[in-house]
Amino acid sequence: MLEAINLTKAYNGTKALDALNLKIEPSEVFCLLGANGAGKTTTISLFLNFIEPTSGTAKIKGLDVTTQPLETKRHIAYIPEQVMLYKNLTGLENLEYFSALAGHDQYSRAELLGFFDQVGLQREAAEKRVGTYSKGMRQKVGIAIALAKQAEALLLDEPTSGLDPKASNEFSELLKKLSSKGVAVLMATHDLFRAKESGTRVGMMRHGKLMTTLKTEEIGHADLERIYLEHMHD
Amino acid sequence: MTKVIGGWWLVAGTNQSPTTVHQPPTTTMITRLARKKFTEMIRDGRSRWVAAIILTLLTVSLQFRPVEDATPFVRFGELTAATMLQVLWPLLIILLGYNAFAGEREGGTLRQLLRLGISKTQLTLGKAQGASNLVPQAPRHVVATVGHTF
Repeated sequence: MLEAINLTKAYNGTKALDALNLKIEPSEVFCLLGANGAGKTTTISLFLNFIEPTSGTAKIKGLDVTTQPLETKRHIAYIPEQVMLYKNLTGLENLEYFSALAGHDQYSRAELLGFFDQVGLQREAAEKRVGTYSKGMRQKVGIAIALAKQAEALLLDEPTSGLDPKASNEFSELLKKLSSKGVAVLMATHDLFRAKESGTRVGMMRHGKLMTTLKTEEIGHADLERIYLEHMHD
Repeated sequence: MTKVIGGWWLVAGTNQSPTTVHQPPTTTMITRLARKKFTEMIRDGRSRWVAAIILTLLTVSLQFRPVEDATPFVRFGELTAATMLQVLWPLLIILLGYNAFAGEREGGTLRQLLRLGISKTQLTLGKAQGASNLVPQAPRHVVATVGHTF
């Protein structure tokens, strides 16, 4: 579903991402862990074709993202750390607008509200303008937009930032459900606990290199933290 | 979280071939972009102020008799309904349209839109159409009629 082949990105000679090889199959939830500047966001931006790779290729469903930028974007949904929305429109109108532009203009009002139920956004809030929302509420709208897109792959960059523990737990459950439906997920996160909870594999990055990948079912919470700290040590 | 309507998509999703990507025709998309642009403009506090000012000037201009009240300033343009519509209305459109892209870029929503896989051409056409909704055909006739009457 998502594939990186020797993917490299250098900024003025400094390698932000160094020969990444990664393959994420449908139903997999791959969590990228690593300190700030380890190359997690760079990886996601390369898949989204926001930046050009210095060398190597990023593929979505076997299609190169640089040669087929529009086609590949239709297969994926992205949730950034800061979801940006139209302040003058309500949450519902934002969801409706973004879904329609993504090619889903068939949703009824009840269906759209159903997405908000799934992400735990109150119905009263859905009718208010986004300008009055808290960060967590905007994040929920972002998740609903991604859900409504019915994408086959999700790219998540710290999606739970700003969410309260309950909402963040609900998000983990949602990820599990999506993965059981065959959605491939690539998530950059700092949250070791969430990575263990919702991820099927974790990858640890440092200085642009993928140091190691582990299956979450084979390790415990304590092990994950220990291994993470070992890798982050200079 | 998933008790009532929660799981509906997940259920619906099974009937759907995962490779189908719906893409509405370009024209629908442009209309959608245009409609949203229009809604946003209407809700924007600034546009309401500008509209109020223009309407006030328009009302004033209807009371105004050019010949009786003429001053040397008449060379800068007469305060007639026609002038209002000809000069200020386009200004209003510029005022509301200038940040069509810059505003989205600054707000971060431009990236969000491009991420969806829509092309920049569609986006531009939609925005242009949204702004042009403010210039319906009617005012031109109004300009002509009102201009001749007063």
